[in-house]
Amino acid sequence: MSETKKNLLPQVFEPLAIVAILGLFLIPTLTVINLSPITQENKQINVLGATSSPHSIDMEILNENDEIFVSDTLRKKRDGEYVYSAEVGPRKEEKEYSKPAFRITNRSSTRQTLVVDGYADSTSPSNFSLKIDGGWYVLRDGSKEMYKREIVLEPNATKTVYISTYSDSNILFKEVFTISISTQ
Amino acid sequence: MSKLLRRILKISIAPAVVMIAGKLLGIIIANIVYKLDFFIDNQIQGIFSIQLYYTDSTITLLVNSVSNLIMVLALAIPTLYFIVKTSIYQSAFENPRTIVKITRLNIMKWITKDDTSFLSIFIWSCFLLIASLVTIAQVIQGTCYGWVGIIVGVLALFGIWGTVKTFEVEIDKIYPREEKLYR
Repeated sequence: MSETKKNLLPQVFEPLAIVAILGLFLIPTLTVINLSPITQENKQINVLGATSSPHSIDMEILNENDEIFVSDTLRKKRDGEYVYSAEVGPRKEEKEYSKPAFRITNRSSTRQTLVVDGYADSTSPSNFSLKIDGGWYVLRDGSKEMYKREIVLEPNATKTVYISTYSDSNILFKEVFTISISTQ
Repeated sequence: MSKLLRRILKISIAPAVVMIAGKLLGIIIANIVYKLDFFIDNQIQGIFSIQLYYTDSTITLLVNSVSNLIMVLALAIPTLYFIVKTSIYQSAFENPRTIVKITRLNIMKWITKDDTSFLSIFIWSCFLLIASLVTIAQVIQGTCYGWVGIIVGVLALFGIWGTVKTFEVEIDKIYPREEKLYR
């Protein structure tokens, strides 16, 4: 009986030894492949996988050709803070001009409130507004008064923002209108 | 368990450790020398859950190339040493001039004991080949410099050639060629 056991043991261990040898070849190979670094952007996530950055909004300029709104730019100042600027050309009285300016996306899983305000580099009596989903956000009225507006973005929502201008009198010169957008 | 399996297991541990250590050392050296910032990410998909990454693709390319080169060199140097040692040992038997040269170079201990078997050379060469194939695959994928791929390929070819030569020497010991017997 004991002799049978003695003979069986090497037979039991041999397959295990083969597996161990295969493992000795496979493990270093897989480790080396895994140790090879990759390129990726830094993710700002906390341990629960939720975005820890409170300003996870993305803005994208639409760059559509327009006769009145030209040379528009969108600059990211810092996380959650953008500056949009457009050159507004001469235009006729009592006529409204508008153009799709940029797109805002709320990448977070929470509702985001954006604070928007704008200013012009001229003293013209032009009205400047933003139009989002049919709603108007007046940033500067005919009396040159400036207004700070709040835009609420639902989680994962994307909105296209139109810039619009109107004047009671003819505007004969170019002016630059700058909009500052930041998360609250 | 057979003696052969036990020997394979025993011999395989060293190159396996050298392979991982070489890659790791290469990454550490590249980070220290070039003063790089590396990041670690927890990836749930795949076999391993930890991934080393850089935010710049040129840095990734540099680190991967340096670490691959160091890993292959760490495997190639002992492999080539074993091959050269075995060749000299064998040549010393057949050619007295080799003994004179060995004495001049003061490497007599290389031929005083035959502690390098064909099995060791074969296993080290296998690891060298695996490391080379991983590196060449990464060169094709564009994650490693082309010149690293060339160096690694040449070293792998030397390794294979040396292993085949050693195999011939071992075979000659068992079945000597006729021209050697009747010279």
